[in-house]
Amino acid sequence: MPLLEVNQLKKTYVTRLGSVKVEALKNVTFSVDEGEYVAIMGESGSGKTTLLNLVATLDRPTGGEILLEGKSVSAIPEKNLAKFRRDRLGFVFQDFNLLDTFNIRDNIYLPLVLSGANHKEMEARIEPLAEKLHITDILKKYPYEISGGQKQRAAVARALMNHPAMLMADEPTGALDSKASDQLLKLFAEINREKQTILMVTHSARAACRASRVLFIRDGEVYHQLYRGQMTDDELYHRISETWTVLTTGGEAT
Amino acid sequence: MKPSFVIRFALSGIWKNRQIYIPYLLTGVVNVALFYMLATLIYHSKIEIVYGKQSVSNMLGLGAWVIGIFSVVFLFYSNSFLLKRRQKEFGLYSVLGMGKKEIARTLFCEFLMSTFISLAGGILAGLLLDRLVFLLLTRILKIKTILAPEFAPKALLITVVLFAGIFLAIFLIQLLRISTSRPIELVRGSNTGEKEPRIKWILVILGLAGIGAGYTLALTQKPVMTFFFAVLLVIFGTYCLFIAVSIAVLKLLRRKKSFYYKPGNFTAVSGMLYRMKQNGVGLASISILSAMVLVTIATTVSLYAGVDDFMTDSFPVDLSVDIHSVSTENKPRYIETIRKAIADTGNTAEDETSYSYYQVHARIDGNKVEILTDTISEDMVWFSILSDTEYEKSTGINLGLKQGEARLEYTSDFKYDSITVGEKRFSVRKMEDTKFLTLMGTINKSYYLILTESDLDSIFTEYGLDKNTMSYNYKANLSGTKEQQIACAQALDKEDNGRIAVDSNLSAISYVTSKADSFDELKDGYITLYGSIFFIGIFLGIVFLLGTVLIIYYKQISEGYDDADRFSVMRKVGMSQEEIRSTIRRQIIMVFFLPLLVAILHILVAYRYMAQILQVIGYVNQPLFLLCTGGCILVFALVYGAVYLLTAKAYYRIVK
Repeated sequence: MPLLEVNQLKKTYVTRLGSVKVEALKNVTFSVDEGEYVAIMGESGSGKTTLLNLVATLDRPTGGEILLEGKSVSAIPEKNLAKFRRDRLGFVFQDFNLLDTFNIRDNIYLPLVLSGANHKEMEARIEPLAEKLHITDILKKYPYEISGGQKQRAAVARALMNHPAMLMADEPTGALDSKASDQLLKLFAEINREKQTILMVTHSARAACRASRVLFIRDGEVYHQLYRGQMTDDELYHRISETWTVLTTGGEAT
Repeated sequence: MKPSFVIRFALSGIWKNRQIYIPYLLTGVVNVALFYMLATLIYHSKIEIVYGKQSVSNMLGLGAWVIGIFSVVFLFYSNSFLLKRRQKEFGLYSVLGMGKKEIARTLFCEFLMSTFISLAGGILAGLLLDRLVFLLLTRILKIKTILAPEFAPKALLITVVLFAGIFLAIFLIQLLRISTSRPIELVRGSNTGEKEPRIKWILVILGLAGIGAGYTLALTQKPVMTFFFAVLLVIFGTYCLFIAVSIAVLKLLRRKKSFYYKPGNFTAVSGMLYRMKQNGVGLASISILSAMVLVTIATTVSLYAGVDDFMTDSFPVDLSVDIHSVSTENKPRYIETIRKAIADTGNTAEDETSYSYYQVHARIDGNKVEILTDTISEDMVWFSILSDTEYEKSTGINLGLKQGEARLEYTSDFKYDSITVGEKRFSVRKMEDTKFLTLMGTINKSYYLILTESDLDSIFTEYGLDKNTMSYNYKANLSGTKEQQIACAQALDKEDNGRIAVDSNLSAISYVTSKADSFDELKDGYITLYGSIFFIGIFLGIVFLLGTVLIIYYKQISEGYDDADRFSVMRKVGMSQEEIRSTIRRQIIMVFFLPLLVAILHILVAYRYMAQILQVIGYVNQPLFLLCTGGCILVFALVYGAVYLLTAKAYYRIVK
């Protein structure tokens, strides 16, 4: 059984006065197996962030269904959604979304504190994680005192604190320089090797080529997908670039 | 840039920032209106028909000054918020190629518009409300002739000059800020990271010391001299408290892990820590202003509402006659004369009481009394001595004094527990007010010392005083009409001013107090004085309340913008709407009601002080003052709660 199944997902936005309808997602179907590292690529406005928000239960679909571990997330009552999010999912965002009012340690603790975890357990969990992400010495600092790469690694730590079923990343390298991006992607690959399922939305081929599978979305539909198979990162990168060119120039995939 | 474009730009600038601009303009309008209305009263051509014009116009003038000063403070305060929010906008304009000159022109245009709106709106409101205010003043002062509002050009001029000046100063400050900054700084504006607040131990200590010292003064010292000092100490302490002590407490809470890492406390403590640093000053100001509203309204309302009681206290009976230097043998003839005057004018005397006492000159230093028998000194006062049996004749109260004990009747309380007359020392018996003193005693600050007969004799022996020459007090209620009572008082006073005559050979110095004769005049005087204080109290109460509301509103709005991002992050990492709401509620309620609690605490501590100050100016109705203070606190808390609900709504809207 796949970890995540998305069936004929549809999302239509209606403007406030109800006169204009925008179809963000028309018909999206795909699945993610446990331990997979899937990248979703698409241009700005292709609906990839909408897709991520729907999977993340931050928004409700207009049609279709999303199954996580075989259970429909639409069936989760509104009041349990937040709990579901913080227990089962981990998020990494383009702009880090760390809170200036907390130091790094407290930012990382946030989801667990919200779940009502004991602070001794939090301390036990953060130590190996901080070690792995090389953030042990910045735990006492505040977000505005550290670099973008450090912020993003702190955000990854926050996302992994609750051992999520799936780590979801929305353009995680979008605000990072190339060196910090490489570091972060290496980290993702490393985490994935430890059987962490990752779903990443990006429009950077450099980021996507680390994944085990790449989905392309255009105009609200899954347009194509690439499996890594035996390809190296570089080979996959070239295939992605070719597909991307076709995708953006409007032709059909080969 | 074309002028029409500048105007459009300024208009859209105002409209886009209406959430902050509207309260700013509203502050302007209300302050202009209040100031203008006071000014029209001050320059009213017929203000002299108000009895005791001097006290009224003094009060009005003082009120206008205070309103003027607070207008400056409040307008500058709201403008600082406006400027902070708009820095980004101006930065963007400069990036897009608008020169500083154009920005300055836009700002100038906005300055003209806001000045015009505030002045026009305020004066219009003033003109409309003038009739109401005049009605209010005439009602409060109980003036029979209606004081019609009239247009005073001088009042208009002063209002326009004052407020145009304030707005001009604000504009110049904006200009300075814009011209000394670089565009990129403006764009980044408030996004620069906030430093972790440090505990400033020196401020913590100073704050606690300030409040402690202020409270100690208020609870132990005599008022007036120390009052302003205590107020300043408490104000200083309150600012330190909100700025430093709150941070220290929150940091200690944060250090306690088992408390801090709980769902509710986690976000609330960190949020408040963040807030206290930015808003410590604002919260302290809310606290101080709330206390000022409460003090102003409570005291002025009590004074005004207490006039009747004050008057009744001053005139326990309809007629009181004091006759001085009367010999024992002639005393009955004077009593006859008084009774005859009462009967001749158609009155019947009821509840007659009388007592004899001895009036001497004395010099009083602390609790040491020196009776002067032959010398005359500038600082001497009238000092009356009577025996406890005479006291009982007048008041019906048996003091049961023992030898060496005394009771002192004096205008305000006597703080020593013993009094020394010459060589003799008496312990002073404390007991409740017996309303023994008549108006005469209250006003002239006389002392009445009550002793046992034998102690009285020994003092007389010591000073060689004649026990046969005494003073005599006669009190009675009269049954006649007001006119008959006045006629009686005049008959007693008729022979010679200040003398009562039995026949052509026998007369004595006398003092007649008739309730019918002087009650109204005196009451009018008090009503004018306390009424005008009350009237100004209402105005100042409105101004302070407005300031409180303004600060609260801006605090909520600016925090709403700050918190909107934070709460969206929290939602993403797994906080439900419900949890966010309850966190917000907990946080705002704590931050919001803390200043109110501190203000109420200040008032409770200051209560004794205020009561004593009122006592000094002759106000004795403690239950009424307690009631007024309690009522004011209750009403204010309700208003404060309503303001909370309204601004919390604005806050939720932004956060959502």
